[in-house]
Amino acid sequence: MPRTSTEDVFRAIIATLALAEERNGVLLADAAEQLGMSRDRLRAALDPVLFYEFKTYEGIVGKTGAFFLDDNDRLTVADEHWLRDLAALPPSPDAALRLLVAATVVKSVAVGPTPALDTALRKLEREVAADVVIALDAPECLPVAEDAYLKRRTLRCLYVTDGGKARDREIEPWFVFSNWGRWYVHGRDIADGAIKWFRVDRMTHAVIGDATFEPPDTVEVPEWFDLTEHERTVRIRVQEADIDGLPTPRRVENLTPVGDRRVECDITVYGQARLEHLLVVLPPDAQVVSPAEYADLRRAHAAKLLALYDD
Amino acid sequence: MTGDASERIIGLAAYFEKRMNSATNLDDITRDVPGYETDGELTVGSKEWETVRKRLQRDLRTLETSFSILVDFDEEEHTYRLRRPFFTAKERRELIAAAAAVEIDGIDDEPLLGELGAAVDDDGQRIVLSVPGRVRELSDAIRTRCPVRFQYHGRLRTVDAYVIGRWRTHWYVAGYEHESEQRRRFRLDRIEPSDGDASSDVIAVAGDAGSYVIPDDIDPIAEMRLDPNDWGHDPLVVAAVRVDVDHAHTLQHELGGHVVSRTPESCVVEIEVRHYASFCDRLLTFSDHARVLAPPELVARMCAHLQAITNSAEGA
Repeated sequence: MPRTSTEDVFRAIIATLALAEERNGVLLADAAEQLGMSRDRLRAALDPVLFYEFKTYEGIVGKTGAFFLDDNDRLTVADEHWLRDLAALPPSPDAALRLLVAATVVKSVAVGPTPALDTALRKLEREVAADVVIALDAPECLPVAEDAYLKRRTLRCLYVTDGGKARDREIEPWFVFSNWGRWYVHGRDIADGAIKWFRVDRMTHAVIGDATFEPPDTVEVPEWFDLTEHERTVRIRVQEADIDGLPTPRRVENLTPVGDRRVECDITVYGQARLEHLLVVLPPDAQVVSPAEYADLRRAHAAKLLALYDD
Repeated sequence: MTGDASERIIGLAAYFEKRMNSATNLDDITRDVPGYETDGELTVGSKEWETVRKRLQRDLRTLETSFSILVDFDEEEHTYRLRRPFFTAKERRELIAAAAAVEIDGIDDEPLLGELGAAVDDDGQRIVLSVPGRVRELSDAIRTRCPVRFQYHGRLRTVDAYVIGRWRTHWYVAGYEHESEQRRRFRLDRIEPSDGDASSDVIAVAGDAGSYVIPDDIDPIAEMRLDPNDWGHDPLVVAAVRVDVDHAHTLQHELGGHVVSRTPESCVVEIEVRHYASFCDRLLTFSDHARVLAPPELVARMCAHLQAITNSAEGA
């Protein structure tokens, strides 16, 4: 068996104890696999932290029992991770920034005081020494949605769709998550049984329902939504400087200069409501090149909105 | 041999932990901690004293490099004392919980196992946040007060960065631009490779550390208040908007404001407006569920815009 340096031993100890603390326990074989070493070698490396004690002038020194390896070969932190409790150096710059961002986000959506997180944040802010401002959307109905999710009870609310239609809904909130700057509930719509994604900022009058449910075993934050069936593409002619101000989300493609600082381009948005919105926020001197029916749609929608001001 | 060394060093850490608030000298260590024993009493300056002292120094360096545990030596008293931890146990637990809740895409994508928060189980992460690598570069620049240079909208910019922040889904840096001699904000995803060379440094150092001071009047929160209604330069007006009652909440979430009157079918919401064009565009998101009631200039603006579209002959 090749010799293992003290540094290698400590690297294994630090990583394994971190896994044990941060995951509320770790199987030794899993830890060994992550570290690229055998289970037996890892077990030997952990000896000094598992069982080491000695007698001193003032009494026994040792932390036997602080880390507990049970009969199933699972390592847990039984009391406190005393070695990490002693760490006096700040985290590395990358780690400090990562923790600062995570802590800032968690604090921004916390419903109660977070004193320990606050003091940790102040320390991290001093380490990063740069003002990093993160505003995470925290819609009004988020606490109720989270509560329903944690209690596995349905969520009742008035929900406004992307197309602007408001309807009462009862939802099984299988998963509540945030991505792309918004909060979502993924779950079953009781009315039609379909599995859907709901935006929490479109919910009002949310209350916890009476029914309970069991969510599926694995639900994860999606990496993306497939919105291709909702795509609407219009080719427009517009001042190039006006493109940046167009509403998002949208995709701009096939941009072609046509002179006089104007361009033609394809703009893709998702859903009919977003298409109608795009068409009426385009500057009046912008032109719909194709499809022709979108030029008619543009005028018709503008006329419909103008009629609101007739009184 | 390695087992002896690791036991000895772990024992040393445990010994200092037990004597947390007490000063410790070399005699204490040689008397109590296995692996530092000596034959008889130590005489300062003797060969044996030097050997054990050097062993202790090496082991203290290992405690520092491996476990971030720092022990300070008092030159006058010739004693060692454990330095206070950086985070308390409670703080560390809160940070681990935060790391377990938030997935951060971008910075530190492969953190070293053992770094705080690097070992969390990502199955429980329910908040995903994209943090581009440029955030790290710019936060370093701010920390060191080092100007940076980058290409933006086709022009080279030299910027003393003050604040980085995220609004909606985009990251911005606010600072002083040398070329325009003005404070500006730049969206990070709009920073371009210079001279079209994608392999060159996109954000380059443009001066020495300590080159500038962040003015006292910089309010980081205010700098990242990027809602046009907060920073717009149009004269402030208070708009009254009538909105269908089912959409009132969403409108307030989008535009702010407060309800001043209500019927079963609709509400009137008053909203401060500082950017007329953005306000009108955002209000149009609500289609025929919302309309401006006042002031007359905003109503006229909206009507003129919609009238111009209905009158246009495009597509004919």
